[in-house]
Order: sequence, then structure tokens, then C-alpha cells
Amino acid sequence: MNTEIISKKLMIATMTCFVLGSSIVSGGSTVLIQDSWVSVITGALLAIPMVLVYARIVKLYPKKDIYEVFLELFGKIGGRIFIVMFTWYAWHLGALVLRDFSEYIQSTVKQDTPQVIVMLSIIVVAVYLVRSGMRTIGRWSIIVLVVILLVVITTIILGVNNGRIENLYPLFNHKPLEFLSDAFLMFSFPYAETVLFLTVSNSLKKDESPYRVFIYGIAFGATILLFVSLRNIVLLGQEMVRSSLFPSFVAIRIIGLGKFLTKIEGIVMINFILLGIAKITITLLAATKGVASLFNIRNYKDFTIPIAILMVVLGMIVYDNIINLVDFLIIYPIYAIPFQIVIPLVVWIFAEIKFRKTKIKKKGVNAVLIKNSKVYYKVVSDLKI
Amino acid sequence: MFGFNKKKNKVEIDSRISGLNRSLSDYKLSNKIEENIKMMKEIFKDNDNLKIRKVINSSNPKFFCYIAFFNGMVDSKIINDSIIKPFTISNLTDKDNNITKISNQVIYINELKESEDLGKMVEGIASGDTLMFLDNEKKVLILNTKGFEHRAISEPESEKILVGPREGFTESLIVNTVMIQRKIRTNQLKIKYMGIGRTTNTHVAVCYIESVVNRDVLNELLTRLEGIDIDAILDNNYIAELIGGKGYSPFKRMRSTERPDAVVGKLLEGRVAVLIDGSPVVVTVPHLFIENFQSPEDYYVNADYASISRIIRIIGYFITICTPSLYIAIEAFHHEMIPTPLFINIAMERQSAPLPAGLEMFVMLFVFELLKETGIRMPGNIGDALSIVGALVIGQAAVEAELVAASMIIVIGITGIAGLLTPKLDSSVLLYRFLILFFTILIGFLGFIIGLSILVINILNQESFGVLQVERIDSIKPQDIKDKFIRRGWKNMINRPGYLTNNEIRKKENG
Repeated sequence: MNTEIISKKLMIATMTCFVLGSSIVSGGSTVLIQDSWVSVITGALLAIPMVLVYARIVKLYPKKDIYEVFLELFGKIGGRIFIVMFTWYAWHLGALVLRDFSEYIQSTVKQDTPQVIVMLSIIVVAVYLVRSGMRTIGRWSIIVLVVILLVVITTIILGVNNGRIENLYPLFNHKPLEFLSDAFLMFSFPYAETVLFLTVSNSLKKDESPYRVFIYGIAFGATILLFVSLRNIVLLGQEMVRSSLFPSFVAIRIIGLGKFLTKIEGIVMINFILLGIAKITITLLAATKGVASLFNIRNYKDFTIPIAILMVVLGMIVYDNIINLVDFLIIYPIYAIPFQIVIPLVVWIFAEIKFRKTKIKKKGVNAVLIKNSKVYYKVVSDLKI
Repeated sequence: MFGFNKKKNKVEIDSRISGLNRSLSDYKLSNKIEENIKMMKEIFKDNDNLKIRKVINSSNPKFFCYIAFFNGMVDSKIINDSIIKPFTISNLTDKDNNITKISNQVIYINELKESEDLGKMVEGIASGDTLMFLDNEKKVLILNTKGFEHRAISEPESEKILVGPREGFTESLIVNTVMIQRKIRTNQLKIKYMGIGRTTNTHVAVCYIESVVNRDVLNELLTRLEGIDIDAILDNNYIAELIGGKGYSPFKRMRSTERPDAVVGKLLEGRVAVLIDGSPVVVTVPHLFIENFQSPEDYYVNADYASISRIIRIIGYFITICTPSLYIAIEAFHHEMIPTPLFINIAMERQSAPLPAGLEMFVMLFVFELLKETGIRMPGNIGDALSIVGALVIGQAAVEAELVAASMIIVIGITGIAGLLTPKLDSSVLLYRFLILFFTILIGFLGFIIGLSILVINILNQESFGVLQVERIDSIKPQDIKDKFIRRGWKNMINRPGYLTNNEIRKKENG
């Protein structure tokens, strides 16, 4: 049985988990306070054209991942430059999420365990998933998605009593430019990060539409994020949302069920850990595949452990503290433009041109064949006479 | 002088070993009966169980034969009444002395073969057949005279149930196949024999129902069985480990049972059964993960009751793995998750305990495993004494001496009891209980979830003969889940599990 090929359903689940990733804890961006749910939608709408470009690349090269496409389009040296850039993006993103993760644990649980131990424990699961293959990642994502949905629905139902719908007002009380910049923030983090799925596109079952995978993945992720951000605002109010770093955690803290279940914020931690693992797994897989194709090695799984350790190391040194991390998130959209927009566009245009050329060539051959067959038919009919 | 002796000894041993190594291909049957008998004695040299007897016809003393068999493996009555007696009293002339005539008209044996092949002869005599050598004949008659003592059919000790059939498999392969055949009275039931094991040449039977079997699994199983290269097969676990699949796994890849009704149920779902001579355990493939929680009894009691007990078994599996680490996570890391008065209670108890909670849990779990293992190895009467000592010493005395917190004893108790629910998953329970505990001691609740994730991924990874053990995870079709976590009534189970069989319809929609 092939452990790499998965169905559309599983791919969508994996992508939804990836999109939710670390965003579910913050519940989207918090710049717009009570209007932040708007940017969840507008960001997704902005992302759709870009995502269609990704899907088109997959459609043009269904059996190849993006690294092989690089090599085919830009030759051995040019392709390798692209591979290095893309691998860096995956590796760096993985380290970023990993650090985000351990900062969250440190600031919410407030324990003395060093961050490196937390990171190593998480990467252990990611390594296991990557080595198990894409099929297990997909199947695991479905389970994670079910858990997430259960938790989100439960917290929304439990929180109904504590929420105040007035917290959402005044609606649309921000400048258009603010809406736009926040939408762009949501676009690049998390929606357009799905560009990493180009590295596992060859795992999608043949004849399944990549357009649907990308659109549904983004749509499901955006819907769940929308509910989470609405829940946070309604439960917490504007001041609390503005002042907290991880609003979901605080939101759940005020939910209670009778006298026994009073502090269930541990549940959010399940959410965050499971989704964080899903996201880190995809970045690790992308980085590993990148390094393997850089050195032209077929079995990428041998590289998993070294890359994982390097990811932890980068996660350790990438920031001094959590404030640095938040600062970086502000410039992240600009930093990500080459990887999320420029490279895919370039690849798409080159691929489209090449595809057209071969199509014309094929057409030419066909025309000659038709011409020949006509001549042949004429000869045969002549002979008959 | 001693050196010389040593050398001589070595030569002697060498010659003996070379005698041992002399293979069957060095021998050849000849036309002369005396030479054949001599060869037979040579082949089975130093095995005094071999009996060779000359039988002479009473009316024609020139007309005789030799029979050879292993003492104790044959039914003496058959040899006396159906071979020796008819041969002695028959009125045969000299020209009747040929093998076809004798096998057709003289002896009364239900199953016989003519053969020139020494391998077949040796295999036959070693499994209880009688060989008949005739004068001027290169061929030998292999006569079925098998008959040896075996255990009577009884209820399997390890799989007792309250209601339902009480018979269990025995160590005799033929009896076991008959038990299956008696339940499936159709020509669709196929039983194929093969010999495995270079030295033991154990008989292995592959059993399936042709109309419903999954061909891919059957082919995979047969190729893997043919690929086995080992000297001995003594039990089904040899086969299960040899052909289970790649890599290490704490989970079983084949289901083993001692109950014929369970095996027949599996065959009817499209699975393949492997029976082995000398073992009362029968394995069926492919093995799904959910089968670990199913019991044949589920099908003999009320469907709702069976569903609830299945769910309890599944919960029990996770309880026995998770309880120790959950306790540690809450006790040592997340006090806020339980009500404060309860936590104060636990903390006060823990105050006097000398070890940190995590270490204490490790020690107690180890002591529990120790008690369990000793209890299994002990002869029956001492086992009771042991359990009293364990309960008193480990339980009450340790708490009163303030070496262990009382809440710890409760947790260990729950863990132990829940662990008894799923004996088939013992190895994975043991491994993951300690693995998750380790992660939890390291980083609390986060570690608990990480350990649990590894368990889930490991389960998802499991394959059994090309079939995923947790299959159709993204499916919400009701027919797929009807006989998994729950059991619906037979009226509702229309389909067989689709991925196991080629023929899905179990019964007509309104039948």
C-alpha cells in the first residue's frame, strides 16, 4: 500500500489544520479589536486568487512537487536557487511556529521547564508523523479536526451565558486602510502559507481537483477562525482582547460549568498543541523534501531528524524574547511576499508558457498526422478505383 | 597423549556429524526389498520408535511384504485389522504380487498413495502413516493409519464466556479443521495444507470461504507463508511474528483465538484463518484494531448490552494508559484543573511521602507489574497468598507507614483493573503507559498530549496484510460503523465490512 498518496478529503483536513495552526489561539489578528472578525473574511477573500495560482501549478504538474518543478523550469542551477529559498522559508516558518508554541506554554502554564525541552518534545511527534508518511498525516489531521471542532463548539455553547453581544459594537469603526492592512496580515499569516502545500502536491490522489482542495481548505479554516474570533470578542470585550497576547486562553478561562469544572483552559492547550504539531509537521516535511531534492536524494525521510534538530536550534536563537516575536509578526507579511506571491507567480507564468509551447508542438504533430492520413486515404481510395 | 586423544575425538565427532548431515537425496529406492528395508533402517538410525515387521501370506509363503511405522503415532487396530489380517489370509497367486492389485483388492485403507519419493515417505511415516514395501517393486505404499492421543475438546481457559458455544480448539490440526467445517457446511469452504519448518515440517492449514474472501489478502498471506524460512514452527506466534509485517510494532497484526465460533465468524466476514498442527491457537487475518475490543460473546447477548460493554472496553484501554500520567499532570503541574478542596486533600497526603510524585508513580507501577507477573507464574494456591500479601503490604501498610500517598494507591488500582479489560493489547499498554508518563513528568499536560499523539499515530500507522488497521477514518457511512464501536442487531447488519471482502451483501435488505 502506498503510504504517500491520500484522498482529497484527507488533504483538505490537513490544510484546514495547517491554516488554523497557531492562529486559533490568538483567534486571528487583534489589531482591529471588535472588527477583527472582518479581516478573517477579507483575508480569506484576498487569498483566494493567490491560492488558485497555487492550484493551477499543481494542475499543470500533478505528479511533481514544487522542487521538481523548479528543477524542470529553471534548470539545475536556477532551480536549486529557488529550492534553497523555499527550503529556507519552510525551515524558518517551522522554527517560528515552534518558538511561538513554546513561548505560549511558558507564558500560560508558567513552569520552569526549559523551552528547548518543550520544543524537542513537540518535534518528536512531528518527526514521527513525517516519517510515517503523508497518509498518516492526513488521517491524523482528520482526528485533530474532529477534536478541534468539538472543543470550539463546546466552548461556544458553554460561553453563551457569559457573552455580551454589545461587545461587537460599534461595527466597522476603523479606517479603510487599517482594514486593508489587517486583511493583508491575515492573508500572509495563515492563508497564503498554504504555499507550502505545493511541496506535498504530488501526494494528492490522481484525478482529484487541486482547486477544490485549496479553496475548501481555506474556507473551512476561515469559518472555524471566524467563530473563534467572534467568541473571543463577545466573551472578553474590547479592552481584554486588546491587552491579552493569547485571547482564546483568556476567553476560556472565564467559562465555567457548575462548581466542578471551573477552569477548563487546559482544553485550549489541547487545541493549540495538536494544531501546532500539524503545522510544524508540514513545515518540517517541506524543509526535509527541499534538502533532499537539493542534493538529489530520493528517500527524503532519512533527513527528517537532522532537519528537525536544526529547526529546534533556529527556534532557540531566532528571537531574544516574546516581544521580538510579536514585532516580527508585524513585518512578516512583507518578509513573506517573495515566497508567497513572487515565486509562485514566476513559476506559474513559466509553467504556463512551457505548457502552451508543448501544446502547440503536439497540435503541430497532430496536424501533420491528419494531413498524412488524408493523403493515405486518397491513395487507398485511388487504388480501389 | 591427550592431544592425540582430542584429535581422535574430533575425527569421530566429525564423522558422526557428517552422518547426520547425509541428506535424503543420497538414498535411492531399489527393486530389492531387503535393500529398501536396510536403507529405511539407515535413514531412521538411532530412532528406536521405528518398527519394521515382515508380513507373510498364509496360503503362499513366498508372498510377503514389510510394513514400517512409528510406534505410538499409529492406530494399532487399523494396522492389525486392515493391513496385516487381509494380507495374511488373502488367496493371492504369484502374479498378483503387484502394487495396484494389493492396494485395490487386498488391504482396507481409506486413504493411500503410491510413491517413489523418499521425502514424501519420510514425511508420511513421521506423521503417523504406515509404509508398505513389496518385493520387486520400486514404489512404496503410504497408508493412512494416523491415530494418536490428543486432548479432548474443552472450553478454552483464556477466553471463557457466559453464554454461547463452549468448545475450543485442541492441539490436533485435523480435529480443529473439522470443528470449522462442521459449522460451515458448504463447498465454498477451502482448506489448504502446507508444510513449514525445515526440521519440524509442521502442517499448516490455510482456511477461507471462497465466495467472500479478499483475494489480495489471501495472495499476500500465501506468498508470505511460502517465504518463511525457519527450522521450527511450534506455535502460531512463530508465524505471526515471521509474517506479520515490516518493523517493530507493539500491536498485534493478526488476531489469535482458541474459539471455533470466533474463527467461523471471521471467515464469514472475508478473513483468512491459519491453523497450525500442535497449537490450539488459530490466527485470522487481516486484523483490524477494533477487533481487540470485540469478543465472540458480543454476538450472543443483547445488542445494546454488547455495544455498551464494547465502549467500556475501549474507555478502559485509554484509562489504563492515561490515568497515571493524568494524575501526575494535575498533581504536579496543573493544580487549577481540579477543585481547590480536593487538591488540598491530595497535597496534605503527599506532604509526608518521601518520593516526588512522578518517581513514586514509576515505582508503584513497577511493583504492580511485578505482582502481576508473579501472580501469573505462581502455581494456583500460592497465587491467592500472593494477592493478599500484595494488597496488604503494598496497599495498607505502605500508606500507613506514610511511604506512599493513598491517592496514589487508588490511581494504581484503577490502572490495574482497567488493564485487565483488554488482555490482547497488553504490550502496547505497558509501553505507552510508561512513555506517556515519562513525557508528563517532563513537561506536564503538554507532555501527556504529546505521548497520546504518538500512541494515536502509532495506531493509525498499523497495517495488517495490506489493510489499514483503522480503516475508513473519513467515512460516515452507517454500514461501516455498525459492527465497530457498537453492535447493532443482526436485522440491521446488511453488509459485510466492505474492505475485507469481495462480496459485501450479507443478507437481503428485508430478509
